[in-house]
Amino acid sequence: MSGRENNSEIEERQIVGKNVIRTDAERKVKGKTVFGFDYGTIAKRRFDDLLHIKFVRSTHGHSKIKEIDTSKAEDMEGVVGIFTHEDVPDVKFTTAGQSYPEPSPYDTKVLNEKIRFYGEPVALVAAESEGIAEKAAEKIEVEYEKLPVILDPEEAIESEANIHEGGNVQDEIDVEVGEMDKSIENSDVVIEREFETQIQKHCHLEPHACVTRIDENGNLLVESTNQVVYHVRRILSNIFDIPYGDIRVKSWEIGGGFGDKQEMGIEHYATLVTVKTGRPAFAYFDRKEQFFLSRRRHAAKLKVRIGADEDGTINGIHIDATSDTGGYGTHGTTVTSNMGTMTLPLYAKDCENLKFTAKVVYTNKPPAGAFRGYGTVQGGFALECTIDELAEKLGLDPIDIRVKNAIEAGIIDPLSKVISEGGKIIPREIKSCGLKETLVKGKELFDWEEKGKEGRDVEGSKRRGIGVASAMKGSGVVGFELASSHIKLNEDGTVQVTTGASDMGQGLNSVLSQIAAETIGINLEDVKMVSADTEKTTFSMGTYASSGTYMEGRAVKKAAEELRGKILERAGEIMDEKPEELKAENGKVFVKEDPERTIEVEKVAMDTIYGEKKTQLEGFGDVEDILSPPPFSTHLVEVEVDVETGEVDITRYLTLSDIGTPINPIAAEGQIEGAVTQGIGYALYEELRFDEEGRIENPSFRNYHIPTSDEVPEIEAEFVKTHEPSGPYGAKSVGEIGMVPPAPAIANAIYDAIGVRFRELPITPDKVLKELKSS
Amino acid sequence: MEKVDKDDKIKISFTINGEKKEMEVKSNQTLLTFIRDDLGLIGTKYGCGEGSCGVCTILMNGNPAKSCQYNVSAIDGKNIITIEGLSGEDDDLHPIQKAFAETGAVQCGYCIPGLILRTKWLLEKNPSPTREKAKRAISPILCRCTGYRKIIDAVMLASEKMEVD
Repeated sequence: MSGRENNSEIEERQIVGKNVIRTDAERKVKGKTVFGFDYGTIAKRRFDDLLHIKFVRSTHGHSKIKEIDTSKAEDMEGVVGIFTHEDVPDVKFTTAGQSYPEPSPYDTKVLNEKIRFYGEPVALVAAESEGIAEKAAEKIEVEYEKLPVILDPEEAIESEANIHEGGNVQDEIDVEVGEMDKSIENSDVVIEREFETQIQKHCHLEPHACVTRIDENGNLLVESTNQVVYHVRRILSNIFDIPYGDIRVKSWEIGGGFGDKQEMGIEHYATLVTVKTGRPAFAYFDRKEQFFLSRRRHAAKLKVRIGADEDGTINGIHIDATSDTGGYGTHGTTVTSNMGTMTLPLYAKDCENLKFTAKVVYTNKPPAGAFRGYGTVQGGFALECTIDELAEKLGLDPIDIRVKNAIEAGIIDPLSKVISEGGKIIPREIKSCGLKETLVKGKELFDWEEKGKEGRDVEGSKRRGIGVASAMKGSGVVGFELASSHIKLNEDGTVQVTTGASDMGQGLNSVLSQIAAETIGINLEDVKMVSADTEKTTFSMGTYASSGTYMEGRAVKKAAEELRGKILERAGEIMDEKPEELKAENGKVFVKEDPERTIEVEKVAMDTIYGEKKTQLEGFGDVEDILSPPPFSTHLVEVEVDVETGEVDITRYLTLSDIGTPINPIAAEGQIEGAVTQGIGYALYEELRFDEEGRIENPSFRNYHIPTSDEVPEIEAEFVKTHEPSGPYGAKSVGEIGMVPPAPAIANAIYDAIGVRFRELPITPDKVLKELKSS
Repeated sequence: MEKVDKDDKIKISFTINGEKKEMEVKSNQTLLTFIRDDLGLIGTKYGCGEGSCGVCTILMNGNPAKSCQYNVSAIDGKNIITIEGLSGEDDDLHPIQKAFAETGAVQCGYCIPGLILRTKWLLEKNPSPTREKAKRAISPILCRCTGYRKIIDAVMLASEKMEVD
């Protein structure tokens, strides 16, 4: 087993690897934490001249705006400004919060003359109160020239009605390593299956919200709830032609993001109003607007073709995807590319013939975007269900066939040689890999073989089944990303750690505090985090692509190592010892050979600031992503399907994940449990539905159901520990990996229970009943 | 409750987090808006405005109430507790708050105030619920981050702690 770390090193650790109470928990349980939306409420109370923004939204899915009559609204008292496509800068951009140059097309303006999805903002109203803004928005009359509404990607490919100039195929991908066709010819069995996945909505409970104003220094201040403050600053600078240094973007606490806030979702609207009026402005989405105006998961149609030998050796895999990016192409290419690049290497142990082809297609649905799992979810569903069918065809156990082909450490991800999300090809070697162990240990812990032998009939109308699926993901984006951190030592021995990335609820600040405290040798409570503020921190890509722990963690560790070196040097001067003879732990520096001789970090700190030789001790670290080490995971699930109601009940859900060495295991468990729960919703019921105009039919929690506490099983999160040599204290990533296996594992378990293969998501009771009737 | 002027304002008296108040308030607003915008108690969250997500939950005369579903007039003569009223006088954590922190039940934390208040109601009614009961009791409040397991752990831990006290 590669990537093992020697035990003595682990035992020496004080803070990293321990279950610690999150450093933000106390304020959160007291209700004191200020989220972006809350800052809107604070702004309402603080700024008398705050403008409230409301949206006029299109009532057609595809149209040209002929005329907007704002006269009735303008006459209303309290209306300060009404802005349409005629008032926005003539600059096209992408709202995708990605590094530069973004792999997403520049295909939108702040407000567009052509409407590409139902509900797209046509005008913004800024008024003295929310009520006035709302009433004024209702009085604005828009005349549309209707165009054909195209909702199906395959129809869009054929259609002559272009949603954007240049056609409806936003991008195409065609990559291959090895010789796919030949590998199929040389295979004993070939299996080919088609799949379809639906549109899922993020449903973070805190809506998008943003307050903009010209601050006391004359700078544009954008206060929001956002995963990518530096990217937002860059995009705003480009649109509004304001120098970077004159814009400050800050994220308050994020009440859930899941990728929806890896985007300039609302900041440009509020900025437009402040730029035009010079006044503070507050924009937010109410829940219905949240459904219409923020991003959603790409729906996809996928084909999988696998060639294998009788003994289960996989010779070649081809995935073909058609993905629906909606009215705009934000994240379209990269999400779609992940449908292949983050799934195909999973079984690349002996298989070097991999092919991925895809089309990213514009339709008149709301724009898709980043969403936890980022394409891997769709590709993973298709691949992992096909592997299950392959195993059956060969008469092999679905776990055994995976073990046989599982990628291992030392292998270079074959696809990384030909395709890269960021454009720069950097072949990535897998340095740590516990995939096989997740399968083998899972088989044992789940009692897989015994369960397989049990009868399928439970009591009454229920049938039992078991299923398995595996996944890989990345940690950041290879060759595309930068993270940095600055740490300064305060007079009292505490430190201020900065990161440009946001904590979106996953506990990033807490993990970074642990890394800083461990590395410097101080106590956890002596670390103060400053994050997601372009004025107070150095550059970081932001929080996405499962990069937080891996990218920011490395940056913080590097900065902390530099600071630790300086602390030990100064302590050495005071103690008359060589720095290399010293060690810091829990806020004390001691002589390694004589641990009784100590000096407190606090004393060292005071001495540096106020002593004879004055200096500000600090550390800085910046890191690139050249490996994006993949975490791996296997999920095993037991279901009971009621053949009379079609309902699927999950009776056991076991996950085993290789996320490297967890920094805060209890928080990592929480990431897996939460991701699996979103995955269960995706597998069994979550789906945005549309009418013929492309209007969302279920834009509320009443009609778009997300899992509740009495519906989800108690998810078991086990970790197969590896040591990722490139990661901070051996860690890889955990945020997204848990989202990928639920749908295929559940679909495979349902097949085991009732003998029906579901290749379309979600697997609702209606569909189950329909299939049972026809079979 | 007394109408102050016929269009807009009403006079109400209520107790919030132990403090008695008598106020003239805008009558055409929800209780949630009043709590957040007028009282500045932003621990009570907006999530959906239609009573589906439960993050705006407060305790009204000891019972959980989704504050977005009430007009402000509903609290006239009532006793209200919001999350800000749960810590002790010296700002100590309530055992339920402590339990939520310790079990890792808090991720983004947006749903947590509502969940903690609902847990308080549950444990007052039923000091030692089974896990199943706890799951059902908190089900009106949505959480998109956690998968609920650690939230249930928190409810059970709080129940144990409070029994001992």
